[in-house]
Amino acid sequence: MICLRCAAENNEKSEECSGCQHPFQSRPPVVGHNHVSQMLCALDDLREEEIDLETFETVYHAFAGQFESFAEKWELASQGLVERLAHSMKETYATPLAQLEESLGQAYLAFELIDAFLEGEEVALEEAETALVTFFRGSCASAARILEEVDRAKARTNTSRGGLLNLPQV
Amino acid sequence: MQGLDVQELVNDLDELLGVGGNFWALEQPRKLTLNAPEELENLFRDLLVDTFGMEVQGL
Repeated sequence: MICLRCAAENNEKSEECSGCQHPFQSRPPVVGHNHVSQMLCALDDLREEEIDLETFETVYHAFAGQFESFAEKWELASQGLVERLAHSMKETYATPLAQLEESLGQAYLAFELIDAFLEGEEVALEEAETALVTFFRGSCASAARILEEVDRAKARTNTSRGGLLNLPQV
Repeated sequence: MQGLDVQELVNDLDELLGVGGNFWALEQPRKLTLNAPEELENLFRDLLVDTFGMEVQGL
């Protein structure tokens, strides 16, 4: 986990940033300290005027930059994730990947809303908060399902005695 | 044609979210049964990783 204020690397269990000493706060419904909890706290602090716009923008652009790197690497703009699954993997992974795609859409929505707000438009930041929480929930849920299936596939491969088994390589 | 590397995708998602691999903190509610090895794994993941804060390979 990085601190979105100063980019220092931190442990998820850290209570404050090792770089700038900014305290990491719990932010339900998100569990633990992570990039989304930091974003939600920044939105809270902005609405309550506990931070200035410049500080908020630092946090926001740090997170948006992370997302942009992810989106570029996985070419989210050019092709859906489900479409790129090998045929042998579709039955197992298509549903959680579709859930992930839907969640990523919520992140884009959050960014649109925050960008509009930063450009001076009347935006209810609560909607951005909701979109971020939905993004987080859906991403974690789909990742958990995918990893569980990956573990099962690995276990089957490990117990395989060889032969012409067409197991997905993950 | 090389298919999607789901493991790498999830690793990158982990880095984006900054959750340290702990995707199970906020997922859809699970039925708390122990009818399969995977459910036992879930139980020990909840106990050892989430509650105790341990890093357990495979969990």
